[in-house]
Amino acid sequence: MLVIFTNYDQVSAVLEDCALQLVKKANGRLTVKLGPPHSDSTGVQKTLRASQNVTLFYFGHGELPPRGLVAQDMKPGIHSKNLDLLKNRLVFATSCYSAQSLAAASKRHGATVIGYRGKMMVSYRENDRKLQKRCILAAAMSLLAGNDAATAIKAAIDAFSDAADKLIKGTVEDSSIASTVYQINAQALELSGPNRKMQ
Amino acid sequence: MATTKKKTAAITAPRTVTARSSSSKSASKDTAFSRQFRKAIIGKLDGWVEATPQPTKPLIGIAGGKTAKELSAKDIAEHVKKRTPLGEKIVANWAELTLKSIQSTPLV
Repeated sequence: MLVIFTNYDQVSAVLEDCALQLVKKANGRLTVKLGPPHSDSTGVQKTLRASQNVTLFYFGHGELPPRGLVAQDMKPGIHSKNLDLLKNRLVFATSCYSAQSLAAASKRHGATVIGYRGKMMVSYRENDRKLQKRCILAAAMSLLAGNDAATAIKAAIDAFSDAADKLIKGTVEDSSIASTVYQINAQALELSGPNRKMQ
Repeated sequence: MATTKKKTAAITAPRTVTARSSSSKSASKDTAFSRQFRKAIIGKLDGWVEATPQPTKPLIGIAGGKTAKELSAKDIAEHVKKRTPLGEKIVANWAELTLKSIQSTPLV
C-alpha cells in the first residue's frame, strides 16, 4: 500500500496526523510512505508510476476545478490528465471533491475509488482529535482487516454517523460540529468502480 | 480472456434533506415548524457566539481548494442566518440528528 500526504496548513496537518496513524497500523503492508517535502506533484506521479496496482491512501486537499488532488507544492498531483496512474487500483482519497475528480479513473481505468463528493470537513478541536481520526480512518482500517471496498465505506459512514449521533446530545458547539463536520462527511462519502479488496 | 468485474453502485449515506440555494425558493417550502426550528438554532448559535471567548477563532477547516477555508463559531452562525447552501445543510442535519436522538431515547 502507498500512503501519500501533505502538510502546509491546519487541515493538511490534521490529515497528516491520520496518515501517520495509518502508517503505524499498516503492519508491514506499507510499500511507500510519501510525505512532505517529497509529496510534491512530481513526487506523487513518480511514486504512482513506480508502483502500479498498489492500493493508494491519499490525504490532503482536493479541488474542483481544476479537478484533482493537491500535492505538497499546491499543484494537482493527480488530475484529469493523468488518471491512468490509478489504473486498476484501489484508492482511498481523503480530500474534498475526490469522488468527482477521480470519477473518470473508475469509469475509464478500472479504479475503485472511495472518496468524498463535495466538501470534506475537518474539526480543529483538540477533543475531537481521537474520534475524528477514528472516523477518517474507518474505511482504511476495514480494508486493512481484509474487507472489500463496499464494506469499508459502510464502516466509514457508520463511524461518522455514530459520532454525529453522540455529539448532537452535547453543547451547542458539539451540535454544530456534529451537523457541520461529522454528518456532512457521512453524507459525502462515496464508492465508485468495481468492488475489490486490498491486494 | 475477458473478465467480468462486479460493479458496485455508488454507496452513500442517505440524503434525506437537500440544501436549498436561495431563500426565495426555500420560503415556499418552509413550514411553520421548520421556521421555528431555524429560529431556535439561530438563537442557540447567537448565544454560543456571545459566550465563547474567541468567536472568530477557526473551528472547522475544509479540505477543498489549494489551502484550507475555515469556519469559526461566528461564520457558522452567519451561514445559518443568511441561509447559504452550507447554512441550510447545517440546519437540515441538526434537525435530522435531533429527530434521531429523540427516536433513540429509551421509553423507560
